[in-house]
Amino acid sequence: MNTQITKRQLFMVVINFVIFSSILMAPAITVVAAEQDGWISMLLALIIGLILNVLYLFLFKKYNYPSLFELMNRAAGKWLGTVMNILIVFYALHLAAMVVRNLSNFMVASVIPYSHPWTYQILIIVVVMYSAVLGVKNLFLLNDLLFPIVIFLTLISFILMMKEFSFLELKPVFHSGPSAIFQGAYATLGFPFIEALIIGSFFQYVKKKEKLMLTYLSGIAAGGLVLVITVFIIIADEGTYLVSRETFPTYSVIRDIDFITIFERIEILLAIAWMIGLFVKICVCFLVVMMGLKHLSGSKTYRPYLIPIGILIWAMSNHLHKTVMDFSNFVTTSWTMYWFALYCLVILVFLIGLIRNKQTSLQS
Amino acid sequence: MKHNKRKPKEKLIITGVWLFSIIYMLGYLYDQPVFPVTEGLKAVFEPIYYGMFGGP
Repeated sequence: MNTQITKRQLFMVVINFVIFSSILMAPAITVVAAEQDGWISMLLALIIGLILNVLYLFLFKKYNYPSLFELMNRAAGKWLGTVMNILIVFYALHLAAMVVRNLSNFMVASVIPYSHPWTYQILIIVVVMYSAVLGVKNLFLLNDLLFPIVIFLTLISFILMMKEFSFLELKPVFHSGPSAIFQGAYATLGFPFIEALIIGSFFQYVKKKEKLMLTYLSGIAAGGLVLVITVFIIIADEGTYLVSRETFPTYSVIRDIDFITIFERIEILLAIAWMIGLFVKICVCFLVVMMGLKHLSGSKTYRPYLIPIGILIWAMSNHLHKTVMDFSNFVTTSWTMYWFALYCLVILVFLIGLIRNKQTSLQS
Repeated sequence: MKHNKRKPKEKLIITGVWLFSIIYMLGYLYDQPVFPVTEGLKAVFEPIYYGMFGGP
């Protein structure tokens, strides 16, 4: 079956990927360092993320958007290319496990307390595996259907949050200083802006590749702006003292909203949007792992890897971090530099490939 | 239906992935430090963060 996706479908998946991993946690991560300037940190992270992705796409475009894994082999040779592919597969696997853990943390902490995290982990992994069985195109078609619902629910949540909005909580602006603002931006740079580079694995399936760079970067910019607005509204609603002490401040803000007695506990709207967005993100990571393993083994299909990778993601999601505090601390201190290391390696491989191509064409 | 035979490399990788997954899962269930990724990454990247910002 020839898998083809449109630029519009890619755009929507990129937006989902960027927004819905960070929308619940980003306000707390930025505010801890930058206080009321957390929204400026988010904006700074967006700008830096866009610059990094522009370079990534610019180099990717030089090769005319082949499969990311094939590109590693082509640019770096057989052995180094294989090492890079294993690294990309591992990063995608690690990200999938972290996102699954994030989902179960949220469900246990905020939605259904005293429930077992395994319930949500196993359920989401089974659904993701089923989506992967149906193929790459299935995810994009499904996202076509779910994206308007997700955006509508998020917009409703924003509108409801405006009830408690107060500019006073955002003042004084730029009070934290540039180093605090940069510290706030540091954590959210890796999560989600640098992580988005794994979406490059799907470029090969895009039907018409003209303006693909613009589509991808627009998705990141749109997702990033939604995050900036979210952080802005959350700080203005709750203030820095409460936001910095919550793990999921966005959810907490909406939980406190009630108007007209029939509208209560409407925070579940955002939880539904978040779960759908996380499902898309986990699917993207899972499919990248599948495609990577299929490429490494030279198989015609990735189906033999579905179950073992599903089991591995479940085990990793629990075993990587024993506690939520350890998880949050790792994301804040190590995640960005960890992904930046992969980004640097990928850019280096692209450059090596371009230099080799140039030398080959000069010799011939 | 004719089954396409798998190449030895393919079989090796499938077996390797299964083995790794099962060993990691057993390591988690019996609380054994199999492939301690987080500790390794923290050892490398946390000092960079503390060097840049002094702490979270």
